[in-house]
Amino acid sequence: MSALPDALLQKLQAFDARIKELSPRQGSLLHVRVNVAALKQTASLLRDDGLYPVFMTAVHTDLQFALVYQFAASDRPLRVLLATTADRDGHAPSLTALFPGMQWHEREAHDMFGITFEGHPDLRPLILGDEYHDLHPLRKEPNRFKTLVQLRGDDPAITDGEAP
Amino acid sequence: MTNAGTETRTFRMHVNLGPQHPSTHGVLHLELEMYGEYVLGIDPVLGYGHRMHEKMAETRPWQSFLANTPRIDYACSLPHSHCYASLLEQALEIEPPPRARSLRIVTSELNRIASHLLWVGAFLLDLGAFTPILYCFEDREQVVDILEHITGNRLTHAYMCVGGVSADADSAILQKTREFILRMHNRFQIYDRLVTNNIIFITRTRDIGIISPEMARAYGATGPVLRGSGVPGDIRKIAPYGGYEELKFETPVGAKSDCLDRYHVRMQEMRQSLNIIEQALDQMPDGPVQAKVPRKIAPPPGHYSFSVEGARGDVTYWAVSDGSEIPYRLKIRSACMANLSLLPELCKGMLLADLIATLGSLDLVIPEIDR
Repeated sequence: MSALPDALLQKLQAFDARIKELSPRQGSLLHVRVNVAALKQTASLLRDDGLYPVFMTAVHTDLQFALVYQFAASDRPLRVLLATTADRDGHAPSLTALFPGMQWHEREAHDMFGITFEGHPDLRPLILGDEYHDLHPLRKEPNRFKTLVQLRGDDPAITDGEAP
Repeated sequence: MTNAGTETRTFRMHVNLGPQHPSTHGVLHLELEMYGEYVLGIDPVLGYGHRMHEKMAETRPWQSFLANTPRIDYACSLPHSHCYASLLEQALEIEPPPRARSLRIVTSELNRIASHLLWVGAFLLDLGAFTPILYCFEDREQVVDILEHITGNRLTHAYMCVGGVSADADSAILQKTREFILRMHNRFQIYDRLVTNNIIFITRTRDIGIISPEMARAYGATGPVLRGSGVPGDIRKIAPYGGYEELKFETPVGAKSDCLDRYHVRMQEMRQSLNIIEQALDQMPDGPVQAKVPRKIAPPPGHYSFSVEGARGDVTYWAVSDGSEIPYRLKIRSACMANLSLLPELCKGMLLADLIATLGSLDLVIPEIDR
């Protein structure tokens, strides 16, 4: 926890930042939930602070996709889980302009969930073959959905769940 | 090519490298745009080794997925299992016993040495040197034999389990591990004479494939690729887990960010791993190797994240639980995918031979990318 009270945290405070501990000794995982409109702005704060992209993925909940981005610092025990909600049609802004490394993660999310990233230079299938471009295997069956509330436990839900 | 006689001319061409090319280490397919011997751009085609591990996780109980984790990165499988087991331990608030923690460190570091030895051999093979891989495999065989004795498997070690490890190690094999440490320290002199000071090797790798620290960060490159670029990023050091906080070791970094630096970093890391194993063996307490674990594993609803340092970099598992015995979502972060994703930008204007050297220096395990 000693690494926490840094300048980044103060800047993130404006974005409903919630802190969840990874484990007592493995540093901190900040859980930052933002509106999809503020996604790029928050991510650029993380980039300016020298964090690297760890992964980007989605969770299919009742009728919408929670988008989850993890960033980590390579000099202090800090990770940030940036979460937002894609809109009803599965559209979200692309972070490739901020982190070129996001390209493949977003392409994979497009394969697996069918999310369209606005501004992505190349959304061809990455992991799946071209013939499976509309398969989206990680989407849940209609009767297997869980709501964000069912997935939250004691912590705040992954996203605030308000699809724009 | 209509010119007759001896006159030749350079032209643009499209070349497929892989998916069965030996220097792509498995089944990676690179579509190259070439101008003579120069690479104008590449388009990696992934997915040949795709097994849909993340979907498999959503169809079976939490503890059953432990059998999948070694198969994601077969060359360094224990850190993957370590990560997943630690994630569940964190979610269920289980603390593995001290002896299990020591055994996890010993086996993980042995696995890291085996993986780096395989890399050194394969990398030199890419560069056209056949002999080193014979030495590497002789040493790797010793590690694999020790790991087989401890874990029961030679490659996909099903050793880590929730709450500890699946079997204790007897004193004979721990003694054999100590003998291996002594042997390996001497073997580095052979590698230095054969490879490190070899002028052909140095010429092939020095100033080739320079990855700036900014580029590594923008693409999320981790592990020896990041450290070769001079950034001392190592999760074992920054955010220690599973007992690494009690051990003393250094994080080797490169200075010039080229292929040669990535080689040096991995060679130094093997020495550091030997130090870690020696300390872990010295401090290893007696006692049980498994904590009490409930028969049904069902983490409370919520999301959990755990990260470890694999041989290739940041291995992160992120899981969402709905409180049932089956995961709702499991994301597996592959270090190789991030490391490879910078290659299309890096390769522009390189000679084809240098591209092979750079590709080799990234230490890719393709099934880990495809998952």
